[in-house]
Amino acid sequence: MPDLPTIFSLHYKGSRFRNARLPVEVLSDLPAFRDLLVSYAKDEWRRRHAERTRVPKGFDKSLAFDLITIENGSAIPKLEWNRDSAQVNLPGFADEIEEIVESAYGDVVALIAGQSGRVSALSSEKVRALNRFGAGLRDNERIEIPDRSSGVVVSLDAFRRKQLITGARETYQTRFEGIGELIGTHIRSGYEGVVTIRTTEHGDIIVPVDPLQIREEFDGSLEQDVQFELLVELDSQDHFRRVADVFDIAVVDNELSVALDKLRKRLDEIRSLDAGWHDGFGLQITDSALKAAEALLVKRTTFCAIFRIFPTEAGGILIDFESGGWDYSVEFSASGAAELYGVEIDGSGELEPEEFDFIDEEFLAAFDQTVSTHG
Amino acid sequence: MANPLTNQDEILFRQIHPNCVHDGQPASDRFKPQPNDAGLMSVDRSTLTDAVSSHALYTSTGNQSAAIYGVTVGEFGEEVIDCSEDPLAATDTAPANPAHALADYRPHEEKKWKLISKRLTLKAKARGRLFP
Repeated sequence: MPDLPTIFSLHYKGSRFRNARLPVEVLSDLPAFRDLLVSYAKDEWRRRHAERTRVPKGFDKSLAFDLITIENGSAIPKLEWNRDSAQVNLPGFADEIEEIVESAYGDVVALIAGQSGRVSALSSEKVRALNRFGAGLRDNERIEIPDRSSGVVVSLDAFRRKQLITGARETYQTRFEGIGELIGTHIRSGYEGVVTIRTTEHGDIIVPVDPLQIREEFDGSLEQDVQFELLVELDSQDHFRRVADVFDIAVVDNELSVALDKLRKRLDEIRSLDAGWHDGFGLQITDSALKAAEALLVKRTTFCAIFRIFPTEAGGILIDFESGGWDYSVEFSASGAAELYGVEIDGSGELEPEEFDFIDEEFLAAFDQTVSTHG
Repeated sequence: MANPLTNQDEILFRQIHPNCVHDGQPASDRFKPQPNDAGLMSVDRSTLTDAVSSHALYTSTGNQSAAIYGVTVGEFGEEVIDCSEDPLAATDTAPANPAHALADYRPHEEKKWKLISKRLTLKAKARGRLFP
């Protein structure tokens, strides 16, 4: 028989739990489960009240739960949301809190079921709750939680717990390379300085830079291009949070900056071509190809002065350049995959097309090695 | 295939679309068949027309050409690509082109066309733009 909307069952499965026995070391699961539920309830409240950044005073206390019974099967502790707690602490909101609790329970089920994006979006509050919930489970034991809407049961065992906790971070860090515009410098003290870079991907970002470097390289370079290689912290929606580390940052040489700008304009021209751009033939150039080409320009700015860029009739982009007596091409297919190939200009040497799925480290290493090997 | 071209010195004209020219240079994929060409690349024969006339005829139907570059029958032969006559009769929408010919890339794997095209483009560029 389904639980009432205010009752939540945790089904403990395993020999230790037979006949409705619940070892005392797992009792701490109950407040942990409650905390997880409350955390999702807060999220739901904020979704419903977008104008508020915080939950109202008394919200936490309005979510009191009581252990009302432990049923057989193996052991099924049942928690009941105490509606009185809402009426006392948030008068007039009990009905809404009930809906919020139900929604939060659905979120907990979805989390354990592993629905896309749930784990990476966990806040520290949820991670703390997860660290306690099910901490006493042993091998071959699990907590089953029914999905009230579908009837499907999701399971939390030691392995799944570990997956959730180790995969659970509110933010993650990733490498971010690119070129942006220098829009500000600031030296806070003799030891601490920052520059502000305007980027296409993440807007204005503040990057810590040594004050000496600011004085020597960045002062007087406002509005110039800056090339950077950073470790940045992003949230689960890929919104920028902060710069975690700086591997490299430098003002781009003015000539290269001009060359880069020229090639970006060339890409804009190619972007604007309609299907049939070649006398009725020629597919429209895809975003994937354009992005891949842009990535190569940014990652290998020093080649911008010698790159020539063309659309291909298959919807991709071709970049030709000569270096060290070789004539090379990097061709991006409509899917954004890359091919690198070339021929010796005054000889019989040739580099067969080598395929890469993306403009990644592997491609860049091959690019660098090829160009440096042949000159 | 129709009559092969045997004059090794005959230059075969290739029209280059404006979108395929950057910094005054043609793309290195212009000397290979494109997706709709079924492995046969169109050229015009210099023994039957000249670059100015070839360009005028090509653009007379609304096609665009920013430049003409050329490669000889012998240079195609070095890449083991046979060329043959392919005169085009007039249609309702296009005038006759008796100088039209085809370069046959079909004996080669498509993957090889890219390197062939690069080599032929280099030769064409070394010869220089033939029109305008």
